[in-house]
Amino acid sequence: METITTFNWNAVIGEGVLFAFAVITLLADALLGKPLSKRIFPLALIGLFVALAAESWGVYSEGGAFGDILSQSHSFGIFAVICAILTALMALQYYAKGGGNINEFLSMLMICTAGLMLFVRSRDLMFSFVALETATICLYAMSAWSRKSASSLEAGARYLISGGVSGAIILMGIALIYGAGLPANSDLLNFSNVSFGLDNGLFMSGLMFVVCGLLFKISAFPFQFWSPDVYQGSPTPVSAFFAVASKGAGIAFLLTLCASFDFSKDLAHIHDKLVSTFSVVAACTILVGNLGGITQIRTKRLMAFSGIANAGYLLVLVAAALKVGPSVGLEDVLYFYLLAYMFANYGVFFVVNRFGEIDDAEQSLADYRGLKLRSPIALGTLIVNLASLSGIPPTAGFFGKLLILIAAWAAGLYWLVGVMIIGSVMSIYYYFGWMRAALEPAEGEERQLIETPSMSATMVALSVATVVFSAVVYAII
Amino acid sequence: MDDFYIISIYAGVYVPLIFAVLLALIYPVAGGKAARVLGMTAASVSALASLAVWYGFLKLHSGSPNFAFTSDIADFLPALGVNGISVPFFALAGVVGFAAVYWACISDIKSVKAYMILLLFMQGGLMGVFASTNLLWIYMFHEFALVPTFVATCVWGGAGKRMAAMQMAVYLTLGALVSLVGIIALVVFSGSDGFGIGEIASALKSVELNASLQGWIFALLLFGLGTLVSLFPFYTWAPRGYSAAPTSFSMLHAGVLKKFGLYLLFQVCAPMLPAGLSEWVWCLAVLALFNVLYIGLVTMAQRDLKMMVSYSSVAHMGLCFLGLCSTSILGVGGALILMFGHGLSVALLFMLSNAVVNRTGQWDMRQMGGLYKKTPVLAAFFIAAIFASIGLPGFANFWGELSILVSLWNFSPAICALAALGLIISAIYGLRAVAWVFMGTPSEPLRRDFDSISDLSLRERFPAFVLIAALAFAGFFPWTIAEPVNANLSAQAVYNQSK
Repeated sequence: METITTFNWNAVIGEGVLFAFAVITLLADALLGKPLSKRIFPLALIGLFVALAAESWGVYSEGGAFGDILSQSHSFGIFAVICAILTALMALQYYAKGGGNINEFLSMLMICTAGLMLFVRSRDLMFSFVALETATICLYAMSAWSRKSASSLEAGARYLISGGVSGAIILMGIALIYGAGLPANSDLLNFSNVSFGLDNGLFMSGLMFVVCGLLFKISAFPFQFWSPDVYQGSPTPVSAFFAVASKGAGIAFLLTLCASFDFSKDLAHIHDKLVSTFSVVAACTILVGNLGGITQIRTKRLMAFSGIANAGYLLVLVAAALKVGPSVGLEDVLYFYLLAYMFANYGVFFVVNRFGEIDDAEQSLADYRGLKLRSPIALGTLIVNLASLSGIPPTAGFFGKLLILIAAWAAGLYWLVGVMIIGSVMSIYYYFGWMRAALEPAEGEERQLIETPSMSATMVALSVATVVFSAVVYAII
Repeated sequence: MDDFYIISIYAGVYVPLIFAVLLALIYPVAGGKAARVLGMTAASVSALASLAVWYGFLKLHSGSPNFAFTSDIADFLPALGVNGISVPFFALAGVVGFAAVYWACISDIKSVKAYMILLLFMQGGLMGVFASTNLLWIYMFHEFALVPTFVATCVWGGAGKRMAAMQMAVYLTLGALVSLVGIIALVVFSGSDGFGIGEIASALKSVELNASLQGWIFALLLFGLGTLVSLFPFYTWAPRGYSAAPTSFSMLHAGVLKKFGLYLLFQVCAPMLPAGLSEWVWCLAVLALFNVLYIGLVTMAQRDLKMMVSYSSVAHMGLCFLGLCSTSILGVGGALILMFGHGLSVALLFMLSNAVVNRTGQWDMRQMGGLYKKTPVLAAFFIAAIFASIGLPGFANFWGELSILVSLWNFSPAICALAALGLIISAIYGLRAVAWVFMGTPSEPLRRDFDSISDLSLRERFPAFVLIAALAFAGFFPWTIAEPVNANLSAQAVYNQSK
């Protein structure tokens, strides 16, 4: 193995900023004492914005860093930091309702985000595992953050178990892959070498384990069962972070991994098998997510099934990428879809978070009745973003689906296109059902809504972004 | 001179959308009156602009098969322009939109601001459908209507609205997505760089799609677009949806939006996929006959006035499809004129049904009767609308039905004869509705308040007059549609096969 000789710290400046501010926030919280520590959360927000600036305008060079275990692509970094900012904003409102310690939460969130960013950027399986576990450990704690809520604790325990199992599976896979490289003394763990192992049985077994672990993380079929319970029980900001950032990281990593395979050397049979495996997983994920969503009346559970379905759509993209080989266009499609999904999902979760009780786990569609009179802004946000999730023009969600449909059709995965259409039509039922519930007049007691001008502004901004972001698509097509 | 018409197209499409946004921005401070004024302004501008574009096209480009008044400002804005097929429908959208917005303004509607925002948004989308030269934008403009209709039906809808709204959303999304796949297939296989109709057509000149491929793509488009036009057997959303939706939305949906599927079939699918059309033409003919005969009989069985109008609109769509089956200029041109006439007459019928129900307080036609004595003007308009709808001379629909039947004789005399039966059926249910509602003596429940029933007020007459005038105009001067349509169709090889 080659030794690392140069330390290109520029490459990790975003993560560095996040770690630094996380530690500063924690220390300030511990040292300043009660009355002052309540006022230091802006410090964490500043940290997030500095990280965003560093990711957006940092100096990056082509090629790898730290002896080629990190790439210098920063698309995911920008996406993840925006997710973190939105989560932090939502958390401020959540903790204003009486949650736990906001400073600790924000520093945990920053470490988690940095971990996810390193995970997606890594080009070495061992390193990616370390980065992933950094993020996952934070997620265990974050999902159980509302210590007084039984459902939050249950979500934490569930995620701990399923996350632990998936981590173990990935590690097992990595061990097998490492072992496969030993006879030839080649480091198969690095992405630049993975193609050499494709005709090796041991390597393929290891790869299967790794992929299964990743499917766990993005809640794809057949490893989707943990996500409804975890999304439902976790504090709402954490559910949103799970649904968007954590899922996006898994998919982005999977796409990079798949893009580094080179099937040109007489490996057509393995190529075909991989493509069909991913296609079948994608199709099942779409169907399971949408069929499951139809019967849900609890909003956060519904969002979990919507998340499963969206993981399926993104897996279609992965299958298409595997089929046609790496292309820059498909990565653009991925990030377009993820950003569109982010705006829409956070828009909806902001509305979910609007209800005046800490424990949103039992929030149901019936609670939304009469929303029209209580808060037109919340209603508008809900309608625009649900329309985006169901893929109705002119929202960005439509273009995300359109780009994936085009990619899948161009790759010749016609039957997957069909499954995607069926899934989308089914999803209309529960997304529009939610809209319909919000449009109906209230019956009986109404749950209290929290109105703050800053949150309304965020919701309007997210809805506008959901519509206006569509224009970006013309840079891709 | 073109510049003026290009600006008119932009005004027609963007003024309703901009006014909808404006109204949303001033939502907290605006009152119902502001909403009505803004709505009427937008709808009037849109209607006048669309009529100007029609006039301009007839004057300057009447004989041209190509898109005229084209413009393309930026990538992320739609490329606009009209051709011989789209220009009458651009005007139709303007006129029906005007009537629908006007009707909303004079009706008593709760939270009229939100209603107007949704209506204007839908209206802008409809104008855009017939003014875009890009398939993706045509599709997107069409989808602008989905969410507003759903919301409006949920909030302001009539009986059975929960189910109807959901059914409509699911069916329309299914149809739209399947046709979107068809469009994607067309673009990918033609090797075109983009979704522009011109681009795809020129790409197809160098790529020969084989017949079975064309058949598959055409099947996707036919299934998708057919669902959107309520082609048998995927029509069930239409009657329920139209009768549950608030009047203005039914007018726009049944009158204009539903023409989208047929419009795309005539404008894009048939010319670009001639082999696909000839493979599916018999299947299409049989399904369309079901629309004409089976749905015609179902319409006869309706007792609910709005249901009767809704079903009749489904039945009439069958004739338009039959026009395509003949793949001749006469048949397709007739279908286009019928679509134009039907758009006006069905919108008028929805509006007048609403007026009837406002007066009688019920939907069941058998519980009415004798209204003629109290509401002669309403009766006159209603009878005229029914005459138009069943295709009596003097109205646009007559020319459409006549040319379709004549062209069908060459396709298959048997189908022509069966389709002609449909006209008789439509006369039965149309005239019987007139008899039930307006003739005879008032029924028992109606008699109590019969004296307090008043005729159409002047402001209610105005939109009805506009629609009737448009119908009669197209009936007496059918060349205003036929000439640009003919110029366009003559240039398409598929419509010129000698038969």
